[in-house]
Amino acid sequence: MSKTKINPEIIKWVKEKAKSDEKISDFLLDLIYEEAEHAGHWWWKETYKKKLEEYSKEWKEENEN
Amino acid sequence: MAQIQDRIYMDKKDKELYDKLDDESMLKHKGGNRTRKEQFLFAMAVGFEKGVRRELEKRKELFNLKDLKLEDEALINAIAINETKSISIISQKNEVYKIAEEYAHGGIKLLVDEIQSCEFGSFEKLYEKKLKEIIIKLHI
Amino acid sequence: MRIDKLLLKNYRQFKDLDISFLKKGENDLHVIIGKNGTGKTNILNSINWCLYGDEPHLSKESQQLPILNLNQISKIEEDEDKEVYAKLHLKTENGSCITVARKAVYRIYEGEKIPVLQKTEFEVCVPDAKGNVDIKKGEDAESFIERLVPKSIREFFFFDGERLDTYFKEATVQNIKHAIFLISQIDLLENKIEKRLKDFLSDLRKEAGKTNPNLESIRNKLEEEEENLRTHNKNEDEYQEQKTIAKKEIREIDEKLRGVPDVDALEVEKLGYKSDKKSAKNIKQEYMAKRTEALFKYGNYIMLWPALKNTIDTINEKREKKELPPPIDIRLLSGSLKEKVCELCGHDVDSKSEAQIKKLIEEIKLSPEDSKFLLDVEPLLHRIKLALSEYESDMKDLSHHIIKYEKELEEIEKKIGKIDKKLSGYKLEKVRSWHENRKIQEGQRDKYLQLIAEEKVRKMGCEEEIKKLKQEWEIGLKKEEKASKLRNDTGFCSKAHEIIKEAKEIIINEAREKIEEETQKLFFDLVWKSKTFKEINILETYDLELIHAMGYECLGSISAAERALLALSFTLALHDVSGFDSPLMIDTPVARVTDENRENLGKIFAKVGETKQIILLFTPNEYSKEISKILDMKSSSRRSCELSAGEIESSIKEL
Repeated sequence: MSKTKINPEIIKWVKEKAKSDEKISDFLLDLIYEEAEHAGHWWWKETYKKKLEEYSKEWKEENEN
Repeated sequence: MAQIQDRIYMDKKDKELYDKLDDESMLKHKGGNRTRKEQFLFAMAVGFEKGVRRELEKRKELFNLKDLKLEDEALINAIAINETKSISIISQKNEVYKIAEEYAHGGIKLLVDEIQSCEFGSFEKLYEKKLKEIIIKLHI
Repeated sequence: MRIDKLLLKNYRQFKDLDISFLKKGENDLHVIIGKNGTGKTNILNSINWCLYGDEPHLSKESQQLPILNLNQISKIEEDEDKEVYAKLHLKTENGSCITVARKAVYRIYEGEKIPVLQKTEFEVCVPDAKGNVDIKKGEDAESFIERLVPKSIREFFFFDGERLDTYFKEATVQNIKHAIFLISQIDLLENKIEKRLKDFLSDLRKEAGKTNPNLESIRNKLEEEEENLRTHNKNEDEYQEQKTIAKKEIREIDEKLRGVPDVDALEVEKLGYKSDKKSAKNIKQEYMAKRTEALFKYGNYIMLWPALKNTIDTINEKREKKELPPPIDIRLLSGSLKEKVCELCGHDVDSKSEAQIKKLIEEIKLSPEDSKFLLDVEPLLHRIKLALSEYESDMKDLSHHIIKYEKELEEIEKKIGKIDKKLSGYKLEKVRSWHENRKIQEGQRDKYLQLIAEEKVRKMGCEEEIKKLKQEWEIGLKKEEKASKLRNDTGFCSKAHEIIKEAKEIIINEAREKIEEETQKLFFDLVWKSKTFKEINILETYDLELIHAMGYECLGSISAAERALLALSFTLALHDVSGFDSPLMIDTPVARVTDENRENLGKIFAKVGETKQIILLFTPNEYSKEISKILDMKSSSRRSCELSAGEIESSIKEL
């Protein structure tokens, strides 16, 4: 499936604001692409929960290290 | 000596004519009409200027002599002196007033005719023009 | 994304249409020229119908007609199905070919003339990287199209040039904000991710709150303050909207009042002149009365002058002869004669003396009374003589004053006439009501400005409180060892939420500023009176302002053509800045623009065609030499749209 085009400014500023926090940046970009792919109603909570679990765990590990 | 009259008289028929003078706008004064004395002197001057002197047929009172001021007496006596070519006429008051009354009787008809022949409101212009002509004629 | 091909079957005038929009050379610009009624606008409608199932640009005539081609209707047999079909071949930026197809099946029942819709089908075919085709139908297909080219902002890529001049009349702050948000995908950040992360954060906090009542209390307070903040934001948005509506009303009234005189001010001026007229009339009448009085008084003197002069001369003569005043009182002489005794010396009057007395009496002639009279009137007569010498200059002076005031009255009448002329033709009550309404709208605008300021202050208070509560929350959460995972997740989610908010704010401002800059650049390139305007502002509130060179806001007073150019500039700026990936299709793009400025517009279109597909539908009048000399050279395709025999069907021909 082709990915919907994202406004490059959005990608630029999310990365910029996340600064060194790559996990958060990746998490947000992942969500952005998901949202772009799904117009209208979709089961977003499941996806958000899954991605949050995944990225926050990695984020915690990074912080501990 | 005869008793000096205490009134100025007009010819009875002239009453209508004096009433008509009340309608003329040029002869209004401060919103009201000129006095009979003022109208008399005006008619007298017109009569003198035109040289029309007429005897009164039936006398009627016009106004009191008491109303005449010095200037008015001056004008009336001047006519009498001019008429008789003698200054001593001024001692004959009745005669002086008679002359004035007769000139006024001659003048009032001419005046009313003149007024009535003009368009309403245009007598003043005509009168002003006539005065100019008299000034030129008499080299005043 | 671009349109490669459009296929139509039995769609209105188009029985069978197969039209490609292939890019040839450097420019992806395509031109279709057709008179009104030939089906040119229905090409735009067919694309809308294909993508969204509706036809927003139908003419009044087309609205009365069924969508199924009329020739097909005439041939259709009872209980026979006929299809209306539209298919678009789209190519995305990354080279994928997507097809979008809509079909509507009609049937004519016995005794009926009008075809009845039986069913519709909508299908989108999307290839994947491996070459497999994902066929989406119904709602899935609609969602896909909504992501690709959202319906709510289609007026920014498929639009009717004739509606452009009303765009800024009808557009509200919300429309402009909505357009910028959707096209720049800020909508995605604000209404989806930010909102959803917030909900998630709220759920995580609820869970954390269960571990400790203190934490729960802080959470409740935090949620309350966040709810308050939402309310204040909502209020502020509403007040902004109301303020914009009031400003729009003011602009519309200013447009109505353009050229209309200030009625109240003129009426006041007229009253002033009427008062002056009354004064001048009174003074003139005073002078006229003076003149009449002078005429009356002088008139008698003039008419009686010969007599008056004669009297003056006579008096002078008497003076010279020393008869005036008389040397002796004549009564003394008369008394002496009568008594035969001189009243002066007491001697008897003999015959000699009698003769002398008689001679004296003869010489004197005037009685004392008469002498006194003459002496009294003498100065009066001289005064009259002097007055007569001044008669002409006095009369001239009075006439001069009368003429002066007559002239003044004439001038005043002229001025009053000028005002009456200015006011004639206007329904004064209506003009007054516009002025009154304007005052009311100004009051509304100021009221909402005040309310907005108050909401901003309240918001600041909420934000401070929220910040404080969040700090308390963090401290409280750290103390809870049980909530370590929750703390981590909450921290992560909260940080992500902050970042997305901050990124969104920057993108919004940048997008707004860039669109403002680009709109201004394009507009000043297009508009012929570029020195008349100083700048364009798109405020933080998404109000659009056009500033005159003299410094005042003038959006309400520009012409329809200028408004159309502004709307076009804004749309092109939106595309350019957002990088929004859709073709641009404009029906009657130069309807409001005069010949000499079409060349400018042609250049702009050609420039847009270098980076984006642009399809322009012109009438022959619009496609004048000023625009054709640019577009003929630059266009990838040029076609004409013509009605065929019978005037029910249209066809497209290459030019």
